[in-house]
Amino acid sequence: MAANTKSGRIEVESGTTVDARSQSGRVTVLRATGVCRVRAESTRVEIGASAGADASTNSGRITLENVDGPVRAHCISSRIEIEMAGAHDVDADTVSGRISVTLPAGTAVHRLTGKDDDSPAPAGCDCTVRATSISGRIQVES
Amino acid sequence: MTAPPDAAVEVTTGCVLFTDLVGFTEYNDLVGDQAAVEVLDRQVALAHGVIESRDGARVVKELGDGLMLWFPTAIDGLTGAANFARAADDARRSGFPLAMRMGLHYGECVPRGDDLVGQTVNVAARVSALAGPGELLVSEPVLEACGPTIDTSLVLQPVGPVNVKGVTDPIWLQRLG
Repeated sequence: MAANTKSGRIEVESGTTVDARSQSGRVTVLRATGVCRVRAESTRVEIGASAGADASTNSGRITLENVDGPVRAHCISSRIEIEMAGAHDVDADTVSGRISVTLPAGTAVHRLTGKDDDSPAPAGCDCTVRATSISGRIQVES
Repeated sequence: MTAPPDAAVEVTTGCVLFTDLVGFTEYNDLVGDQAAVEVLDRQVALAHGVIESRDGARVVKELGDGLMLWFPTAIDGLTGAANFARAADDARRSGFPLAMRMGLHYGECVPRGDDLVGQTVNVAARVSALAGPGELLVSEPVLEACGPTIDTSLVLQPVGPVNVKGVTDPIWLQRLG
């Protein structure tokens, strides 16, 4: 499903593949059985559960919970919080916001720290997490 | 609904591409003016690398941290924009600090000196604003004008109808995946 708004709130209770775009209205997706894509300007983005997420906003916080698929998240000045339900690749970046990625306990993570860091994952790694920020703090836990 | 152009006004038909560096102001604040200008120069260089092989394509103007490009045909616009998106993505993986968002629209424009104006330009700017970092959004008129000549290696994913500020009817968009 596709939804877009300038200032109204978007709330998706349950969807398959979601594409939501908003300038200032908050975007909340409670559950998506497919990949959830959200583009926002200056508002908070929350995705409850999905089979993958691709979310970006300029100044609102991005919160992704229970993601069981690859993640891309981009924010300029606010925080990105990602809680993974499985061992999947994560690519998250901010200019100045903090990034927090939590993977299931015991996940062997190959962590990349720069956009130009393409070092191959060592044998035995379950997934790759690329988290980059120019000035924000980065935390990756498993 | 798009109003018909004034018969007395010279019009030209083609593709307008807008680009924007996501997070440029914050980046500038962190790294200072010199490093920020280097990023702008790099964006312009990427643009010229894309248009140099396309007759009539040009950078119309720089708009702060963004660019406005012109392609005289829809197929050149689509292919050029896709190549620009790929080049920006490659640059990002090679250390270019910011992602680009892009929007492409097709229609009639009115030349005004070296500039172009008109609703096609306005809509292209709006489409660009809807794109996320690293994303190229393409309006349906571009694809209709390309017809069957679309490069089959381009993977386009439907976004759906999108309401654009200042435009009565929703515009169908696709994203380059």
